[in-house]
Amino acid sequence: MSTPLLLDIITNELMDIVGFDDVTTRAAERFAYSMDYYLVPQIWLDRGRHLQPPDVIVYPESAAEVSRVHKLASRHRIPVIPYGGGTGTQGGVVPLYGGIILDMKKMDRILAIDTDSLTVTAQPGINGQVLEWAVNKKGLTLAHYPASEYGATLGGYVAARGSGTLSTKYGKAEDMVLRMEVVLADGEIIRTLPVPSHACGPGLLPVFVGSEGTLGTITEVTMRLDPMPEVRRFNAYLFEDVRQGLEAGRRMMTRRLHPCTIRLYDASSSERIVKRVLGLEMKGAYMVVGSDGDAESVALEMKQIHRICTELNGKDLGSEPGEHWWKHRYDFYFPPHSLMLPEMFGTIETTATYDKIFGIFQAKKRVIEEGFKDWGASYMAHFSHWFPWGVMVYDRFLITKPPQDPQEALQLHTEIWGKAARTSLDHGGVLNDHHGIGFKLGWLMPEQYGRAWAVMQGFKDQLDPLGIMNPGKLGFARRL
Amino acid sequence: MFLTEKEREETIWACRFCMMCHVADRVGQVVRRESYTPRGRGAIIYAVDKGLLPADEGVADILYTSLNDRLIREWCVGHYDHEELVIGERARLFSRGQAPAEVARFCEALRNNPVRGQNAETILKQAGVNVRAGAEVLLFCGHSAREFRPETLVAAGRLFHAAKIPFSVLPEEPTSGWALYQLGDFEGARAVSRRLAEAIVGSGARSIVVLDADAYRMLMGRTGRFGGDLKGLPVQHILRAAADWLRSGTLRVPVKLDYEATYHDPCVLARDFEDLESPRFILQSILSRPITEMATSGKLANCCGAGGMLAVHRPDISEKVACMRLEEAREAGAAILVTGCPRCDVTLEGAVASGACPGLRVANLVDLLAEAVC
Repeated sequence: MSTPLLLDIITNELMDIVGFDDVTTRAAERFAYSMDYYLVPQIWLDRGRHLQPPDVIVYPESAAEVSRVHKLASRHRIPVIPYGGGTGTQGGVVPLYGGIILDMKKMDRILAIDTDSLTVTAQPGINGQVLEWAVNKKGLTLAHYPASEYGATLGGYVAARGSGTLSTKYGKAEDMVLRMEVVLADGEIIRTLPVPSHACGPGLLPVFVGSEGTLGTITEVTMRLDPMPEVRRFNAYLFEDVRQGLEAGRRMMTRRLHPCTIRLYDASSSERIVKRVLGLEMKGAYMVVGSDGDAESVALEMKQIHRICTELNGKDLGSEPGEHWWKHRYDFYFPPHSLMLPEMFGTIETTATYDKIFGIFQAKKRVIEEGFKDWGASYMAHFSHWFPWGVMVYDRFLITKPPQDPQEALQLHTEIWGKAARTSLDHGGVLNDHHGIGFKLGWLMPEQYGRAWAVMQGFKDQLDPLGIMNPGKLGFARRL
Repeated sequence: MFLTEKEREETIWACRFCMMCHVADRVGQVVRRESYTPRGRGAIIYAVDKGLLPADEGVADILYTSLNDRLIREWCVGHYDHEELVIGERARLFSRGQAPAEVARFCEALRNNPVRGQNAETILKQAGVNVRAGAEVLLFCGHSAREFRPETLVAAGRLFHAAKIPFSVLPEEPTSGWALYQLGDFEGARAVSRRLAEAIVGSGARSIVVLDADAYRMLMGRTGRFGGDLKGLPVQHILRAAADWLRSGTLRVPVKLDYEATYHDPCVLARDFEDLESPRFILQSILSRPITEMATSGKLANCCGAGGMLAVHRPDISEKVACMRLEEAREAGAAILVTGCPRCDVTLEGAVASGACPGLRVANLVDLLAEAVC
């Protein structure tokens, strides 16, 4: 915003919409909203540089208030950035151009739990774990267990196409969402059809799932629930190398078993992460497999899983390491275990079909470890979200001593990402499985989509012609 | 400051990069602003250190809107001490005269009159409970009981009588200094701690039993760190003492009470001293049916709302936190919410009085134990 007077005018108009207590322009609060978990702003901050804060933060309590804020933003042509838990790693809520942060956490009510249809309808600002605890009381589960569960919100789950540790059976957020209410950029409040399965033309729902606040603000979400399983069992195996583990996972999925999780760690990950966090020392590729449901089915499924793993010389490590992993599955993401500054790192995950995934893994490992040898770059990966047709490689690069100069650090970071991403694309992969795009990967989207990018940009231009919604994200051209 | 410079830096580093405790942070759940979460505070403290943000009244508001109940530290896999970090930052603000006005006023009043509240000896005598000056055991009552929960103080006295243990109280019992410590008035805490230690040592007691959980934490360590020398006198919380009396047969329960109860673990007893067993043993001894645990209990119990002296700066948030705790008790199906600290009692009863969870009774475990044995 250009002048303090204009900011005061807009702030007062916002107070008229949501009330005095639900608007803030205090420096400390604006600072807290100038970042998420994306590394680059953190590097900037770490090197004593200022970040672009939002001009104002607003805490709406209804779709009607959100609508009025959108109308105000359209009138003044200022950015609106919907904000959930702020747990994203892609810079999705970083206010690159300032503007209004719409923190949705005051819209956190559960509106209905339908125990016949097994659905929950809630406002988007509800904390993921709080939602899970609430439905658990009814004997139900969202079965969405992302590492960010303690901090992320329901709105964030669907806005970023998130995935949880049991996605292999229960699907990603996009598979769980049934219906949404969305406030469009111009303030119009719309609802998608009551159920997602129909033959009434292309689905409207998927347009907004994963839109990261660039096409509108999500104000209500209906999600599928599942019954709490009677039992949930885990078992661990150790393979000589990751290829055997990949083949074991492929066989499970293509034989249409329904394990709730398959987590396969490459040798580097097994050595660094598994040893450091779980305290298990091993050489080879470590795999945890899980199954849940009624006791009889689980016993049968675990038997089939065991047969597949041992056919491929997987050493049975028993249930204890697997159960231990489940119990401590989020420990990896707490300090001091989590990757964070002063290290430079990135999760360059890629999804691909089974025929391509090992090639992608090998090529990226080479690109990172050989291409950035001078920086001592290391590469580690695990395969944690499996589909009937393929799998996601959750791979990371790590540089323990990155440049101190922020511009040099950014240059190195961009170079690594560019090479890693293009390696994935060249080998038939899709750049991202569940972290979203933000501005971290936005610059690579036109390249990934090719000619189809015009269609994507067309959605944006049609739904947000003024370009007020979360500008600078998802690779969309800036119109403001 | 109670964190070393290295610990402080590590804690800031950990908190500013982490959101894993958002779900355990009651203030964040009430305020629902990123800036009021442990991550927000970590980032803000970092930015102030680096000169990227002025330490203005907005920063002070955020740092004084915190529970410091140590649940964050308990929840955190790395056990970073976010609460002590916040107290240290409050102390910096306080020493520069940047604490919120109501905090400064509260601390000044407490410094000027550390012996506030009613006289413990008078309360006990009026209830027919004799104290013996110069007894080996000193009962440290705490301000909350003397001012707001005299019945709990009387119940404690009756337990001593039932156990046939003579005890004394300080005729002019000063505050433990907990409130000043929590609010960052370290100078005030130092002065009070010295005065308190002198009064206790001067009483001739050979050991101290503490009714108040916050005072217990002070006497178990912070009093000494603030310069109050207790000359090595042993200190025990009353629930641990009472559990021992029950175990040894010093106290006997003639008829068990028939209450549907749940137990609220005070943060100090559960998290600092890890005594989950004493209160549960007492409850098991005096109730005819087992207690129902709330959704959060033990070391991960949610706060009653009194943590961090939050009510001095934001009584509205403190009350909402208390209401959330009452709701947990209601969901557990309890008719009585039993606590182990008079400060918790006062805070939770305040929330009941405001209309939250009507019909739910808040009782101190000392009250129930006295009801069962006396």
